[in-house]
Amino acid sequence: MTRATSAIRAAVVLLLLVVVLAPLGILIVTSLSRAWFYPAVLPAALDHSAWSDLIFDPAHRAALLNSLVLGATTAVVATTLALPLGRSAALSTRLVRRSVALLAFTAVALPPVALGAGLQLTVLTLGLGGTITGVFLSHLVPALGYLTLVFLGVFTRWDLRLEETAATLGATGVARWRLVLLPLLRRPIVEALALGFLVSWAQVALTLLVGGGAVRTLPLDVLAMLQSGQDQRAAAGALALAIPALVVLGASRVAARQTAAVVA
Amino acid sequence: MNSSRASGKRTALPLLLAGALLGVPIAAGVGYTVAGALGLVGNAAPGGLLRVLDDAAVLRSAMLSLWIAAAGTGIALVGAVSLALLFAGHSRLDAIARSTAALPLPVPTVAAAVAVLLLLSQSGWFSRVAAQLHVIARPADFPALVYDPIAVGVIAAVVWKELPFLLLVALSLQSLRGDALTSAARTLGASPWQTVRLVTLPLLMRGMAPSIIAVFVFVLGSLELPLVLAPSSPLALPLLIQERRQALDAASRGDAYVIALLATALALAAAVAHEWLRGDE
Amino acid sequence: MPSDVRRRGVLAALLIAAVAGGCTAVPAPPTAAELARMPWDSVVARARGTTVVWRMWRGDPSINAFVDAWVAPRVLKEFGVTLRAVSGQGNELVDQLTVEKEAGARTGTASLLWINGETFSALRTRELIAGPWSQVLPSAVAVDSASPIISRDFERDPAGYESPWGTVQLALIYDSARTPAPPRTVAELAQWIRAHPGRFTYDQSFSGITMLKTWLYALNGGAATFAGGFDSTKYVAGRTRLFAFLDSLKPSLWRQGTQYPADVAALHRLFANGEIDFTFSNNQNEAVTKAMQGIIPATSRALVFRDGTIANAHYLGIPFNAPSAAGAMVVANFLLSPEAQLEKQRPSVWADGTVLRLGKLTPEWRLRFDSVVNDRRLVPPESLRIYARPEVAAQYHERLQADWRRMVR
Repeated sequence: MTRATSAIRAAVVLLLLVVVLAPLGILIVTSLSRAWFYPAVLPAALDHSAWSDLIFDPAHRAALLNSLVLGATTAVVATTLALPLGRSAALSTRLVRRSVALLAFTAVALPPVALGAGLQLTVLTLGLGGTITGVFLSHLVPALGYLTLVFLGVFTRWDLRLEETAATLGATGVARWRLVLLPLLRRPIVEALALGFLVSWAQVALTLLVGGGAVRTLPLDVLAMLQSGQDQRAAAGALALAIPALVVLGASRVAARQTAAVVA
Repeated sequence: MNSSRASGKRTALPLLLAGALLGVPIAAGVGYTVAGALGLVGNAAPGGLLRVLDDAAVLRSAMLSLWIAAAGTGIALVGAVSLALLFAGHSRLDAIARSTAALPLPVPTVAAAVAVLLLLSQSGWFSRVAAQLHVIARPADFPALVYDPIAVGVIAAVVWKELPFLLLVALSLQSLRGDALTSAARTLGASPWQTVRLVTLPLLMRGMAPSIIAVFVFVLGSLELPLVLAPSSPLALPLLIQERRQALDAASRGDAYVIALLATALALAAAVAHEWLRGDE
Repeated sequence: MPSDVRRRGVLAALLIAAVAGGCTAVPAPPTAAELARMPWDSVVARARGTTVVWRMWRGDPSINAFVDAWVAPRVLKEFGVTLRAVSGQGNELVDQLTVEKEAGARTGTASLLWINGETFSALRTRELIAGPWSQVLPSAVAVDSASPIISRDFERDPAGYESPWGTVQLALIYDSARTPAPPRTVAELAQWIRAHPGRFTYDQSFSGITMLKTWLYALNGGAATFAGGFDSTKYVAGRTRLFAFLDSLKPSLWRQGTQYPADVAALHRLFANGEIDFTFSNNQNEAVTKAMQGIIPATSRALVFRDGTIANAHYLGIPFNAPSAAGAMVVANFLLSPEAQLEKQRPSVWADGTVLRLGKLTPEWRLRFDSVVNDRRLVPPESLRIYARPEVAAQYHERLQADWRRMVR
């Protein structure tokens, strides 16, 4: 590697650090400020009211709880449903595989404003309008789309011989799952759970359209804070959104690495 | 079990599951949009396709959204590929670069949008630094990066969010297939740059094509980014649809559903393209 | 039995259960009109233990704090009603209720709505709100029903379909440190804008349209020109003058009039950060309340144009499918009480005008109300009264908004 290349690489890494960390930095400083107007580069004094509001205000806590419950439920249900769907499709004919992949991608690609109005009507007809269950059902759509694609990918590259060998050695269906499939699937399942959680956690458009304003989640709260001029609370909320997401992804990667080590 | 029953089982179950879990909600969503366009629901009058296509505001909105998606995806792609090539090795610096670049991946879009607003607006942090350094005298001297018709701020947020994703795809493609072919090319006497140009890049592009489409279509339909950062004129397409859907006159509402259908058609076309490019991996 | 058949059976059972669940008949709760025919004690008794979801504009933290931290605990304690305020206003509300009506949702989500003007008009026309009910509220006797601003909502008689809650008046907000000699009339403002290009703009939401209407009156001989129902000819003539005025100002506006902030919060943000030198609000006291919250500089002051600015009232309505109309009526009644009206008027809380006629209250209450409006930084009540102009028919508002989007933006 030439000196020029090394210099470029070092410069790029520096640039990367700035570009990636600057948005997080501004959120932190703004969340701790008050009446921080142009052209002040730093706030005059630090103020924790945005954070104490976020933690102690019952309405914000309710929004945070809603987001957590929705995220966890979406993750578990979407994974549970997408796994058999992805597997059965992957082990089926080529046409079926492609059709299911197309359907799954469509669920993800459809613009939420187009999808949301129809889902809203469906949810209302089921008597779930403005409830968290209705919003959960709407989150399930893109989550299922993403996770079906994930499991389709996993099972397309699957080596059936492991299961067949286990069957030849006398393992029953349940035992095959327990001893062969699940250990191998631990990493994709963990990644699917993380992805399902993130899809619901970050969701804005569907929650707005299907929840009709009655179901408050953390991202909706962030928008509401911004649209009511409370930038500090919006910044605190945005960090509260970003940090668990980073944690969830980090944890899933650690778990994946551990599994890989175990399986290897 | 004989083979015909076995193959019947193999196709029936996935199709049934996919139909129930994915097909039904998609049909419900798209169906309502169609019904709205025909004036059957949503207290709308039948939308006019020709009227919509003739409406300059709609065209400008579509152009803006397409521009944001194309520019954002394009810049993110160039950045991701460059980083994948530059930091393909195993040194400490490579690991740091890859981890840093992947950091924005899980951050929700709305959080990124808020941060970009606080940094890039004419009274944002960068503008304030410029003011302190006496490079500018007032906020209006700072370039308009937010609420601007070129949507620089939106594109910046898109790149920040989507580059990590494309980088991960590029890296995984490289590790899966890159090595054998590149070493073959080098053995045959190709220079590093030739290898990149004739082997690595085409490989990456072909492998990344489905992901590029995925990012493009996701950005196209995103509501929260334009809500926070985009200009009021032209209005981003999802916002235009929302505005007209809630308009008090029935004709506008029908038109909103027509526009939503056009956006849906585009998404479906993208889905087909995505599947076709994916091949049978 | 074979696992694939079993799996299909489970799925079918789930689908049937889902459909059946949606079709179960739910007895409809009594409507507001029915409750209005019952004795008040009966309404209060029915309200106890219910939850009232109140769809209101949540774009102001001080209003949110008043509702969440002052009103909600009190209605819970006194009446056993759980109040939950959620976001929803204007076209969004009309849209939501339309969809709910279409879906045949017998009971909706919200029981109480914060509305006025064109929203009320649209809801009434489409039969999306319940009534009449507001005339039976015990606190309603103290309402200033003689006031033209309260007795007519955009020239439409509430007729018991909405209960008055507060009054506001549009005011221009400026920073006394930056702009020691602000313009006092619309003509002076236009002059100022041309002399200081790029330092003024208006927003796209209801405060922006109210400012446009204020200019519409000023340019066309006053509010009286448009009084007495919607007249298309008058509207078009008025709009032509207004849009010509806007056109002449366009190059001198912020971003050369090519971009407009989406809502009043974005407008305040531009003002606070010195990108523009004026902001405004439907609430004349926002200069004080927002400064207290640190959203705009402490040196901010408000003024009303000598040409007049629009004063209007805002109200509470009950949707046709309210789950707890009784709870909503109890809350509306509480909000009309002198206690709640006074609290709302405090500058430290919201500084929203009262709808009560002080003459109908006891001397102690009159004293308390008088002391609250004495803050030096507030616009003097006399100024407000002299320069107040009424709203005109809702159709002017709707047409103006649609035409502005089509022709100006």
